[in-house]
Amino acid sequence: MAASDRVIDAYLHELANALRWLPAAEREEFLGEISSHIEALRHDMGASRDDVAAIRKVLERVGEPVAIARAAAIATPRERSRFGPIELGSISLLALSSVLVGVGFFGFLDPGWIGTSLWCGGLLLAWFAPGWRLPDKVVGSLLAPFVFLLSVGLYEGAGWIGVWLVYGVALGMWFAALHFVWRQSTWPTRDKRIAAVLPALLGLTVVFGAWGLEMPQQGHGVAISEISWIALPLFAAAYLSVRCQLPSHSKHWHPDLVSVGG
Amino acid sequence: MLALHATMRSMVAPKDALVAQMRRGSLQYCVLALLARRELYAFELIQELAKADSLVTAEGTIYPLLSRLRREGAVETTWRESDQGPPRRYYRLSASGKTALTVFKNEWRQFRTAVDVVLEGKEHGCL
Repeated sequence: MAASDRVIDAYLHELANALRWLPAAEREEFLGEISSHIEALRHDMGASRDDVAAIRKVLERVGEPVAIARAAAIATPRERSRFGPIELGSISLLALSSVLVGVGFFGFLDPGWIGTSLWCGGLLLAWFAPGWRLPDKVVGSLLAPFVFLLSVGLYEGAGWIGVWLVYGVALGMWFAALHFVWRQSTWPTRDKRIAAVLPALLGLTVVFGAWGLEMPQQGHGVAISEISWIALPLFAAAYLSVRCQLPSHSKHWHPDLVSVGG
Repeated sequence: MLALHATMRSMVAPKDALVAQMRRGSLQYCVLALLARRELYAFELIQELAKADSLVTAEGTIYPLLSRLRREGAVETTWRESDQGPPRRYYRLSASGKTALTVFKNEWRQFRTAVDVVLEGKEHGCL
């Protein structure tokens, strides 16, 4: 390896270290671009591989690794959570209402009024939260009654299978949405975790629900109603957590929204 | 008296910092302006920028700026094969970048005129 190559390697190593806070893919992209730039500049300036002094001049033109890292820090949007306090409160209330209703199966609490009031509280917060647009608020509010009515209707027509069909499809759509969210590089890790906690809560409540079904004194009709109260607010919570988008995340490019660069 | 002197001295930014401050607000629009003329790959673009005095002090710092412009949709890119090495990413101005550049040009003219009026003590319309 020529001496100048070692100088370049040391430079790129220092740059990689200065950029270690960036996601690996972005860091690699920058390193590749800077590496190509050094090559092109070396060719342009006629710096031979043996001429270490000339290579140092090339690197001087490229800039101190710290300066490039600072420019990258300025140009990289800070990861701001899409969940503000009101959004978090709304989603938490909706999710909590399911869990408490599940607990209600065991007779510790009255599932009906607790579930309804927490669900209403969660939706009320959602309507005041800036993180959702009007269509999302409407869908989030109507989702639970719609799936409930659909499951009751299908129970009348197709029996027990029809009900589980509705819940299966709803669950599948939920997991597909969460999978989509998980693949989005623009979502901060914290937000992904918030959205991912919900399946765990759902699992918990389904267990409660299944347990409740086996209670000998309950007929199928009662069970459908109870299961709906448990699962439906969670569908609303999941939908709203996926759709949440605080206004600060606007993607529209406008000079006033641009911070600084270079 | 000593305090006043210290305050005055702190208001005078070093020349480099002063230029860096002015460059910070305008560099991205210079990039857009160059791309408005023709499609360029990064190295070409940076060499064009470097021709203008004080616009680029460290060429590597332009890459994060280009990355942001890409992310914000101000520029569009296309990969093309090159005879002299690996494929190159060519940059061109997008519709929203074009709008942003037009807005900046208008604002810049007014701002420049306003500063000149104050600095040179001239009346509006006399420049």
